[in-house]
Amino acid sequence: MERRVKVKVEKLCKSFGDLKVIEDCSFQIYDGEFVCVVGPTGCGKTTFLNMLSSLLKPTKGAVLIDGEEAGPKKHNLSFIFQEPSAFPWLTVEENMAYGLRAKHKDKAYIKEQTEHMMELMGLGKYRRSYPKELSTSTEQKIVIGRAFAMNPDLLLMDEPYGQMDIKTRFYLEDEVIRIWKECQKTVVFITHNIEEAVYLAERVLILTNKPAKVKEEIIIPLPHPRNVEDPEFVRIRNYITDQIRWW
Amino acid sequence: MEERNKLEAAAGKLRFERRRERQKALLLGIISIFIFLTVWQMLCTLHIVGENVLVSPIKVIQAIWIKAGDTRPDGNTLLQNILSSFRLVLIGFGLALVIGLPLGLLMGWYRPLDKFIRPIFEIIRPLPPIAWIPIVIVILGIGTAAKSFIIFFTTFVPIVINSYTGIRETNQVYINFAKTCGYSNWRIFRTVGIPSAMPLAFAGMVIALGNGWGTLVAAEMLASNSGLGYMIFMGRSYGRIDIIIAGMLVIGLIGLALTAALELIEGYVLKWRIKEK
Amino acid sequence: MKKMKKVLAMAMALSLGITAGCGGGKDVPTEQTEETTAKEKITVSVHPSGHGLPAYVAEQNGYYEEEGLEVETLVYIGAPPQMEAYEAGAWDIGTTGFGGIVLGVAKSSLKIIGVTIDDGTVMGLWARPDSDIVNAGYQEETGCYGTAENWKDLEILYTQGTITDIMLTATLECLGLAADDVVRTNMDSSPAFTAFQAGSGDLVQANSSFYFNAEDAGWVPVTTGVSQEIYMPSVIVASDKMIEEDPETVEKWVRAYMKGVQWIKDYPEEAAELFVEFCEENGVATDEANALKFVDAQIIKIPSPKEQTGYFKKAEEGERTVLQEALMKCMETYVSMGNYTQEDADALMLDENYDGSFMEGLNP
Repeated sequence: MERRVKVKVEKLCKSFGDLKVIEDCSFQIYDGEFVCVVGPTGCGKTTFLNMLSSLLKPTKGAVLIDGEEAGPKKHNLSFIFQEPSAFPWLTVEENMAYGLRAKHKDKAYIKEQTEHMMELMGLGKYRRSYPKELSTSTEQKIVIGRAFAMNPDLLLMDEPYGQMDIKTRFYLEDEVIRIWKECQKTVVFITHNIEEAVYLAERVLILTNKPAKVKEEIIIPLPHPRNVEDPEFVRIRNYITDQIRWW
Repeated sequence: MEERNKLEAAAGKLRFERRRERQKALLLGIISIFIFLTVWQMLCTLHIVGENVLVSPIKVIQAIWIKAGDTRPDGNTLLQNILSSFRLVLIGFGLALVIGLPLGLLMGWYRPLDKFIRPIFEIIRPLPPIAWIPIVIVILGIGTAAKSFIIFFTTFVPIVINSYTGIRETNQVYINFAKTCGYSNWRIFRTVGIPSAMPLAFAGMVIALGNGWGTLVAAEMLASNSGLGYMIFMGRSYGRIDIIIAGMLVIGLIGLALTAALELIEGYVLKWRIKEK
Repeated sequence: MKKMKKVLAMAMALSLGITAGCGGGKDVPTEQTEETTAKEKITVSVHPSGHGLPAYVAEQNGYYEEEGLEVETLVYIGAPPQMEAYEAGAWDIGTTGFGGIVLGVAKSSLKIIGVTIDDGTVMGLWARPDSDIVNAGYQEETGCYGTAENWKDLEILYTQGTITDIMLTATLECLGLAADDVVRTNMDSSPAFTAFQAGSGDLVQANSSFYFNAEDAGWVPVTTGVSQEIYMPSVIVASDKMIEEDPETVEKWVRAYMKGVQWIKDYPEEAAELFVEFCEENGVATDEANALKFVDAQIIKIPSPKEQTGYFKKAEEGERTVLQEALMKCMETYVSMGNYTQEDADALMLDENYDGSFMEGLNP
């Protein structure tokens, strides 16, 4: 199946003063693809993601979405952070609608999208609750739902499950795959957890140490949901782990 | 099934223990107040302290009771005095809220404004309200405007500081998320900054109200013919210690009530906050 | 926990306040006479006004030293703080005005042992020269400017609970007005003066030192203590304790004070200079011209010890002395206004509160 290119990163460079964090980084992401980005700790993964989301401007090079330079006004960008970022002062319903409200005025449309998303995430019964009344995993579900509800051109996730226990993590990993399949959005997911990367991604990008660039890309043709004990799964995981270790 | 029962039993026991804790605290509070009042009454009944220095709690309650209907010696009933003071504080506090809250929030969000206003604010901030009286008399006269200004001054500062700090402490993650959504700086200020600042801003309001109510005595010192502070001054002039203490007591109790009322409102507006058990 | 802390704090504050009161009572600075050659240490309290000046003169001219007294003088701007300090045991002898008479004599343990200036002589409510009330002119019958119409609803800046109330009430009575027919705004003398200058209020009190400052400002006294025929003596007071335990020292101080009075009568211009000094040291603004007017108006008229002895005498048993009569007139006004109670008035009239022996002792 020929997918078209959604995101094109061309010779991306980022320096903070003399410190070169990202240098000469180029790659492509296809429409509707689920990509994981892994790399050694501190190699600049978060900086990388921040530039994709246009929170940071590149020193050189460009990030293009649908052929145009990425920007929050032009494109629908959604970012999920490591810390739960559901607004505590909004109800679940209001949180879900927040991303949409940035660019849409049509109340009916917003309501429709929000309802759909809440149903998909199973959050309907919590619609009038506040995030602090709910568990952390539910809170992150709100965040995921809010992100997908925006109909994003690009959905960026920065180690969103890093602070959670294993059970919650497994659960949310399955959830994000489920929603992704349903909505068919382009996702870039950063993690330092190789198993998680292999569990989720269609393609894994391995970054080098600073100054970071794409060292290798690994395509994972396994179907979802994946079995972590599958020998092919294990092989890929070990391979990637080795790749990272030697840097 | 059994597990469920065990859990419920445990939860019930916890609730029961918590209620006992609260009852204990309440009882301790009542006992300590009782001891305090008894010691006070004893000091007076046994004439350990002279009548021109301290008056017994019974006489104070009497004074309050009588003052409710009697205009002597200052010319107003207790209620008239209460309303007069209340009016001053309401105007002063209200103005401080209307001006101070937006100002603090905007200063906290927009650096240039902060830099512009800061120096003036820092100079004004430490001035005691009484020091303003001479200037205020000349500029604003001696009426409600002048007295409310004194109150405005003590309430303005904590409101500005707290809303400023509150909005400055907004979690960057929230701001970043709003940015990626494509919100303008102004909209992020309104939808993220302001709500995030509300807990601290409210704390500032509670402090401000306490300050303002406590300053009414100083404000009424400027010039007055009614009010609780005025009542206390007149009590002093006419040697009515019972009225002085009664005035203090009423001021204290109303101050408590005002704070409680404000905290009630806070609890409703900020119902999204983490509830502390 | 919060409530307990609050209560604890209140309790601590109160006990601190009480111990301050009690502790003060125990540390009476007056000491019993040691050797007659050693100086007596006493603490005296006055106001920075006409009745305080003789004490200042006594200090400056060395009369205290002549009597073998070492005197610490406490100056209070009004009766309430002065009497509060008395309760705390800070002083035992001094002078005070009418407010102090009620707070210190009727309600506490001070005794009146002499009279000093008549506050009625430099007491007035002032209006701006261009105001309606002034334009209406002075009325002989009512002893004030303007008619009841002019006075109605005027805002009067004055210190409530002081002698100005007597003058105001007398004036309103003459005009047939009630207390509520005017707006009374309570202010201390100094801020009231400033406020009136800045344009606030319709009438302002200016008594004692402020009287002539008001004159200088071009204001018109629409009613005065003189026009209302008010005799309001300031008095010399001493604690019952000191009178009982140390009457010789009381006599000595009274003698020094009356020496001061005599000196002022003999040298009014020099006295005026001293008065300026005395006022400025205590934060009251005045100048020499006004001080001289003040001395002439008030202090020169202080009765001699011989005359004063007459004030303490009763014409017949069961009647009031001249002094009691004068004080009662003022008390009656206050009681009718509800500021003081009948009990206060009765207490003030008790014979035991008066002791004319010291003035008698000064008679040659």
